[in-house]
Amino acid sequence: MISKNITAASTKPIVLAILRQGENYGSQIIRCVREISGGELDWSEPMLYPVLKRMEKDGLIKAKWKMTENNRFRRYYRLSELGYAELEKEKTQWFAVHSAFSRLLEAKAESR
Amino acid sequence: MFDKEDAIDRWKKAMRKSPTIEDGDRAELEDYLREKIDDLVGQGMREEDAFKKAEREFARADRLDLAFFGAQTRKPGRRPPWQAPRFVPSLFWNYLKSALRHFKRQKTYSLLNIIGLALGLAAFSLGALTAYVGFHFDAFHKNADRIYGIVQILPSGVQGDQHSAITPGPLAPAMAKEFPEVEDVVRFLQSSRKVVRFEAKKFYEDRIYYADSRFLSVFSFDRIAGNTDAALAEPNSVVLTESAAARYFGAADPIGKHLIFVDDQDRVVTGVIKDVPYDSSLQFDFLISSASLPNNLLESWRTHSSSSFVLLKRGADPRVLEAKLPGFIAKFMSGSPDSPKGLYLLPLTSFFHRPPNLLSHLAGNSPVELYIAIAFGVIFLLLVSVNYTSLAIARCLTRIKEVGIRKVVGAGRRQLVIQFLGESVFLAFTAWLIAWPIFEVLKLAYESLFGISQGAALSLWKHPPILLLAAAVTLLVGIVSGLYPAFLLSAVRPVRILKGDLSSGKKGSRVRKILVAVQFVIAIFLMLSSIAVRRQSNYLLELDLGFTRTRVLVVPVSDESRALLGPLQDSLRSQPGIISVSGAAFLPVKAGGQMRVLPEGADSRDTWLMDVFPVDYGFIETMNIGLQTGRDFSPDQADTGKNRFILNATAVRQLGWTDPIGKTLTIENTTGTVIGVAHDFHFGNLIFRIPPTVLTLSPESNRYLFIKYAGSAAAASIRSLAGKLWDAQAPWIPFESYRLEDVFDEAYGDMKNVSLMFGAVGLFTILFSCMGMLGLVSFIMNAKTKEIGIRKVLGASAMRILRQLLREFVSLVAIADAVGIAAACLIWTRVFRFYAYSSTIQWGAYFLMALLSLLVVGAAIFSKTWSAARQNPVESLKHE
Repeated sequence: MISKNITAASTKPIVLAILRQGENYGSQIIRCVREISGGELDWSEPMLYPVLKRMEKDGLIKAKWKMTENNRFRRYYRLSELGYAELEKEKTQWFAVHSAFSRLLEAKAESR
Repeated sequence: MFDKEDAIDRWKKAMRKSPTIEDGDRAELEDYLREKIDDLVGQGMREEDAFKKAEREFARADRLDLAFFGAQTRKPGRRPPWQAPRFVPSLFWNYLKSALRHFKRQKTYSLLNIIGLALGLAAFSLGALTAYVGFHFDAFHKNADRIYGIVQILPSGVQGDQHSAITPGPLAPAMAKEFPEVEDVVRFLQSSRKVVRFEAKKFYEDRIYYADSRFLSVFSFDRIAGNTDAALAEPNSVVLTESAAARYFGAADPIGKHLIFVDDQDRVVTGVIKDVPYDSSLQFDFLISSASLPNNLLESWRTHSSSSFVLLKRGADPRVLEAKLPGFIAKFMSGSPDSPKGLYLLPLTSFFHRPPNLLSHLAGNSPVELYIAIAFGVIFLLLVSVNYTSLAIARCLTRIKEVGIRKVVGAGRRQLVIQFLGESVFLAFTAWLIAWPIFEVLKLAYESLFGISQGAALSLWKHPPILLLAAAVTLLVGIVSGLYPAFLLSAVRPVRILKGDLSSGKKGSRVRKILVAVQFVIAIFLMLSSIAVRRQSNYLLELDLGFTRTRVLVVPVSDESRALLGPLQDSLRSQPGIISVSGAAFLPVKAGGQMRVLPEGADSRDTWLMDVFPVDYGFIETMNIGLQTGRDFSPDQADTGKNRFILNATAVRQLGWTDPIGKTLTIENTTGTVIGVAHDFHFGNLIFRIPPTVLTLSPESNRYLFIKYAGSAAAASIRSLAGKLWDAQAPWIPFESYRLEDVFDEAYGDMKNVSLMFGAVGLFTILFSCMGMLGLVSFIMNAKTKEIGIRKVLGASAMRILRQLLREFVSLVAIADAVGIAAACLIWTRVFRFYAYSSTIQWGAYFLMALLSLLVVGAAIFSKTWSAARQNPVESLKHE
């Protein structure tokens, strides 16, 4: 189980990353995340939507209503220019943390 | 059968309740929900279970609506409006909402309650403020705590000592030289009425002081123009108050201009000060420098003419100084029959409420009025608090359900008490806020009723102690009135409540009955007080004072106009409609000049203190005073120039003379013969009994002319007649006149106002009491409706309940009436004992009031219960 803090912090970059691969909608994003993380990332699913809304408000993603086969309205999201830039920023940050953390762990293992 | 669409519809409905989830968001969430359900069904779950599982996802989502709100606002850290600020303890917000909700539901009741309480607080504040200001007269002077007046204790023979703050001129300067504790001294005297002129404007002025140059430094009167430190240094300089200056000079600068006082004395204006405030016992419009006085007045130890005040150095102890005074008397003042037995210092702030027999130039008043003001405020507040409590209890009974639920979900008794107590205090402070504007309105009414012009003195902001008192009282009322409902409610048993048994009527009613009774007591007391005060004032006005005061015109006379009095009187006497004309040095009601009288043959130390009134020829006839023996002053009897006295019956009785005619008296070195004895007449304040009085013949001392006119003539015509004659003789002197009876009406008029006030408040109270009682009765009837229905069904008459109720309440009110009557009688007889003359209790009116109240109560109860009794029992039984 991944802690709440990390889950919360990683939501935005993961959404951005998923949307980089193409247009997507809420439920699908949730499914994607569950698959990719192998169930480790356990999101409280409806909570994704406020996050999407916030990201839209911040201009990171753009939304569009589309009609589905079942005659339901569905909202589709895609990255904006700002979104791409933000994703790069997040990527840098996360990798920085990750490499620092990895190096530390390796060092420890050696001195043991 | 599980219906997916139905379930989803219900879910959508629930979603709609959220204030932050918009339609679009809802649609998205619905989409998610359906997808989830489809997924789960695809995995093999039943539709119903799938729906439930999907729904549970939403439950896991912690505060979804909050999250949506956070997504919408500009500042991500913002809190939704329905959530309390972070620093507020969690339940507090809930209590506030609960209170507001309850308030909205019972708007009229709550509003009435608050307004009533606000009224009570305002009235109380006014009463307290009036009393506070009244007891703190003269406190506005910067040096007030260091200023003391010098008072002499003069021996006056047989009747005991006379305290007098009117002292010899050299006294104060001598004290300044002798005692290092004295920083400064100041003397002033009151001048007699004078005519003052500037160019074409001429007026009579009564408020003239002669004062030392240090007057304006020792006392604090705000200056407007001129250099107040030097203003009174030179002789023949005068300082005016603002309104006096406006009277003569309009808007022009008065400094340097010359005002002409009586006998063509020219004085130059050297300063202007603000009008003397309401709470000052030194009241004047003009200050003339004492250097303008003739030399002998302030330099003789034998002449008692001025008020002397000392300013002590900071830190000096007045008692130390007082201890040295006997030595001072021995050094400077011994060796004459006038020597004082003792001297003492009286603080300036104690002068206004000094004992009535202390002679002084300063204005003074009895504290009785102030006590009345306080009493008023307290009674009104009590009344309103009782009402507030009663209504609070009534309202809280409608919240029993709320309390039941709170208890069920775990509220403790303490919590409930805090909640309701807090609500009560909160409401009380709301009333406090409303009380301010009401206070201002009441103040205006009060001022106009009692003719107080200086509104500024009665400002709450200047007197913080009263402000604090008002706040404390509010808190007290809030707590006390909230206590009982709080405990009542917290003792409620939740199970019974939720089952629908709402009749905790028993406990509540007993207290409420007591409260209603108290209200009635207060109401009756106030109404009776109104009657008592009105009766006393009427009594005083109608009292036979031993002389006739109707159809007498009074014309005030100044030093200037005295010369023309002789010819004026002669021409007046010859006019038709005028019966007789005379004069005196004083005015009835305001009279009181005591002197030492030595009867013939008595030891020189056995003097009597008697009222001595200098009068003119024909006084007894003009005032219609009866003569017991002897005769009136008459020029035909060669009384002119000789010393003749007329005594009143009390004087003769006190002296123990059986045959007074022909005996001699010595008044202050003047010996004369008694030529007549008059029936007792009362010229002084009716608080005192008739003093022994001597009338002396002294036309040259006339200050007032009395014109008795026939009943057929109208006062206005006599006035214009006299005015014409006056102007014919001395057009440069202003003519004034008024009716003698108006002087009396003015003196005792305040009592009428007080009576009015009592009456108004009394009426108000009765209204409140009836309201309270009606509320109580309807509540009880409500609770008893089922009982009545059952009785009717069983064949019994509902009249029994009615009769019982009536009996209960009528006896309650009867007791209340009795208590109220007793209280009114006790208190007012005691108060009116201050007056030497007081009216008797009018039992008839009291009983009438009591009867009336019982009738009112009976009618009210009857009207309420009648409908309940006549109701169809089926309806009653359905009643919930």
